[in-house]
Amino acid sequence: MRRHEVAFFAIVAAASLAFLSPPAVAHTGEGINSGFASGFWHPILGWDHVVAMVAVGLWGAFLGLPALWILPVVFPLVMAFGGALGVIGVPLPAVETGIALSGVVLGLLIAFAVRAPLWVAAVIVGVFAVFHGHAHGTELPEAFNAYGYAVGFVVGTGLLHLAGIALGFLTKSSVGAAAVRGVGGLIALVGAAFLFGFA
Amino acid sequence: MRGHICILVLAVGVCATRAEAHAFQSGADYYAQFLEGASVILRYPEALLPLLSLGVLLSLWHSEGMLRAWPAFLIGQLAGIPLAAVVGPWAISAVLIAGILTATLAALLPRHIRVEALAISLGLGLLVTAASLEGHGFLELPVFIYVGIVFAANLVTACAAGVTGFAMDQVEANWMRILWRIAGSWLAAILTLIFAFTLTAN
Repeated sequence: MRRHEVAFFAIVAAASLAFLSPPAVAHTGEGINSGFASGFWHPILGWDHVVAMVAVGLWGAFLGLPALWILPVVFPLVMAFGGALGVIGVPLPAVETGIALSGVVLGLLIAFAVRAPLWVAAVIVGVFAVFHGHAHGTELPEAFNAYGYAVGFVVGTGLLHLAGIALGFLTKSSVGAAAVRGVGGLIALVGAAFLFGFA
Repeated sequence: MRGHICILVLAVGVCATRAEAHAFQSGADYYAQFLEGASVILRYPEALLPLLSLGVLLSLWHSEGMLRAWPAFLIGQLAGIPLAAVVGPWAISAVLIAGILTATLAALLPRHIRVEALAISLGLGLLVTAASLEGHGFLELPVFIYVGIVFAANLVTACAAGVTGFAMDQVEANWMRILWRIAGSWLAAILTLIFAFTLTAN
């Protein structure tokens, strides 16, 4: 195994371990630790957010290069813009509907292995990113450190993307590609459950 | 060498005494003055994150990007010291906007050019120093506070550039470069949210 492959797998393993670690309960009172933990777990503990973030990485696997890498670069930027709108109080209609719809649409795009042009993919992902970011921005707990929340929220979301990309590498085999398309269908169902009020 | 710089940055961060946000209340102790100056950079995300973004951008531009841009960065910092007398609280917003621009360019542009790297180094150096010394007249403060600010600003940027450059030297595969562009994207996202918090705080 070559050196850069070892380094790549080490990073993927580190990201996986981050997800496996239990929530910290020390220092729960106040300060940067609580702010970071709150921001970090906010996207990870909400299934509507999780499926959409992972879906972005998975869809990138079907879109191929350069979309595989461009989407995770663009998504945090646009999501932070939506988050900033939420923080400063700019209203956005149907935020929860938009979030649920993102699961449905992205899940179906994965399930049918749709290979859209890069600009179309960027627009679809960007629009949904604004809804997700806005929800995070408006739900900022006032008791927690805002800086820590911002860092935790971006890192948590980014790790979900990287997890999606890592899973997307399964598409290199035909069995893996079928499994990923199945996961896409599952993501669409989860999104639909939120959309129609079953979750 | 880069490892030593990283350890030094951590040591300065850990040892820094408690600062009263930019009020500069150190007495005659030169070391305390130096640490108080350095802590303005190291303890405030508004100054720290834009400098980290600059370090990442410089190494994405060129393997010796930090060395090439250092003169422009230093000139900007020195120009920022007298400029501090005329800037108001808006300066921190200007630093954040410059930081968002720097991190966004690092994330989105596949390649960078010399003019861009030098202009951002000059501008960010100027803005960070001016915002850190906001409202203080030229050489009104003890000299070691200025030394601390300039030292910490250079150390943070050099460390970020060093880590980025070291990683890309060790792993020449394209995904390593992409990984640092993703880091730039995360920095831009965090800075955008901090900018929003700053707006609501005002």
